[in-house]
Amino acid sequence: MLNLRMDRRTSDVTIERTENPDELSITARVCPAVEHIRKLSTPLAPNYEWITSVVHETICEDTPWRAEFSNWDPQTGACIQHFVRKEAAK
Amino acid sequence: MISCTEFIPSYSLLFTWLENKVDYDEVVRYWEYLGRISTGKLEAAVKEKGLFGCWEYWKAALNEEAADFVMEIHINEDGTGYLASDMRYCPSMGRLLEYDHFEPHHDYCAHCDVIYPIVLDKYGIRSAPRTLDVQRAACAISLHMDEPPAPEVAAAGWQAALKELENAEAEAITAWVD
Repeated sequence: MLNLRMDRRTSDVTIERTENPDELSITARVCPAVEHIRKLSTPLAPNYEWITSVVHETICEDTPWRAEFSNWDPQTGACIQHFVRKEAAK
Repeated sequence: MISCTEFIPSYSLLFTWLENKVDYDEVVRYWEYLGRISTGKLEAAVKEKGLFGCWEYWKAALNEEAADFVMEIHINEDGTGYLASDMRYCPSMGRLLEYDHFEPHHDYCAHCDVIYPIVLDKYGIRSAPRTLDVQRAACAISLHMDEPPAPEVAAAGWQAALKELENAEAEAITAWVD
């Protein structure tokens, strides 16, 4: 008998809005892409997180918004992605 | 083209509208109609590869839908075996539970119980009763091929299963033979 087992989890991500309309936080506890790469025993590229942080910063260029990226964990892909209005951040 | 964010509530609201307009049996007749006209991909897969066609069909569908699930297939060379699916979070029902501006159809989940067996029964695949936890958008089902299909179908399914075995690691699929 041939047996196959596929276990797929959706990403553990929450999007949070505070009472402040000028900020938005995205908290990823597990990144499915990083999890998949780890399962394959493939080394994660150095600065892998730039695919998120740099893209967000670039999207926000010349807009009233600023993107922040923190709490990166290369083992799980966990991170906090924060968007805030530049004026409100002053 | 309609996005899933609009399709799922529209689908549920159509069931509710049909039931209000006629009755529950009319909703079931609609599901039966869908089972006849909208299962072409599944039917093609099952017709060619038997039970393994179910694995290929739901593997593609559930990954596309980003479902949270575990699926297993245990298949013999003669094509008999079973497939078990444990849906931890159905993206369709899950989305409906997140809405608070309308009530999902009271028996929304039942459409799966009607639509798919119509085509599976034709090819000798028995659906065991499904366990449901609607409020958690969870369910579990198993499909059984109790009698061997035609030899060419069993062979096609077995060859496809062996190929999946070869690629299992790359696809993060656990595989073993016993």
